[in-house]
Amino acid sequence: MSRPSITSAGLRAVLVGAVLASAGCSYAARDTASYRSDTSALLDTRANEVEACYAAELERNPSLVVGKLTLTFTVAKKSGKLIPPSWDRNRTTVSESLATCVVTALIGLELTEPDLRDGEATFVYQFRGSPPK
Amino acid sequence: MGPVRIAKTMTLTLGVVLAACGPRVFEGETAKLIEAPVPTPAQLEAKQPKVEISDDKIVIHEKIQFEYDSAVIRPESDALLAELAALINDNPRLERIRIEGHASAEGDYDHNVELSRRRAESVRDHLVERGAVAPERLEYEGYGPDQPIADNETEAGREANRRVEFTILAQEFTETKTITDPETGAQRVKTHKQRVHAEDRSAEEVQP
Repeated sequence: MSRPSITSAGLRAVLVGAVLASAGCSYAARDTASYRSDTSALLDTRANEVEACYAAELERNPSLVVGKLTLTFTVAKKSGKLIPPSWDRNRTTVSESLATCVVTALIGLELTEPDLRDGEATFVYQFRGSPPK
Repeated sequence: MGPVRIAKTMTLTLGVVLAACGPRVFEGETAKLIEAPVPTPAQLEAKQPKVEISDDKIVIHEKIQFEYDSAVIRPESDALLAELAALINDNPRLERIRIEGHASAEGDYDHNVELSRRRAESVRDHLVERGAVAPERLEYEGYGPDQPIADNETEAGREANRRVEFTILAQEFTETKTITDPETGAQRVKTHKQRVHAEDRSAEEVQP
């Protein structure tokens, strides 16, 4: 019985593939906790805009006192760009206009140090009335 | 190590490397809390209406400012008068409004009556010319010191007495009644319009 053989060209191709794949990962390699924390901090840079969305919504609809908005989005690997989020309607109680405003406010965000992996993120915004006195 | 084993090892290594590039899936640990912004004092002031309708009066929450001993309105009252004109235009049910000028008891009586009348006229002209209020909805009168609201013996009292007031002489009300049929329980809504005159407290039906 003859043993299966592999050509040196085939071996080279596998090696080149591995090297290329490794080269593709020459970005930050965050663990899950760091990715979560950095993405959270990234969202916080637009906190004022999100607050403005809430203020505008309260102007339009003063009866809206509290509500929840659950956003899901991807942080693209290698570019760090936040792909425009969508909101999870099953886990969202605020109006569509507020959700749209927040999503718009988050457009253009990107991690200063991109990661070698995509980040599949879910974040919740909780809107509530007046701060405690 | 044979070539097949090498190939298997390399494939496994490649697989591990590629797996390392798979997405990280995570969820925010806590919700991001967004609170209603606390309005600044300036915003609160801006939100507070300067003019309001109250029964048979339009109440203004700041004074109309005039040049000293003159019927010329000072520019700082432009915003107030613009808001007043908007309120009148937005409420066509306010059919007739009297602008009433009042003065303190300081100085000559006749002069004060005349000054208060000219000031009321000046406000009427401003509302018509700059606020686009229909002139037939406005009339004016000067009362001088005859209707004080404060003590003319003090400066604060005299300042309070120098004022312009707005009385709604005629306005329309729509009365809505829900009538329930005692037998069937069916409900119907009945509305009718009334015109109320402030001076004699009379009311008349308005035909639809």
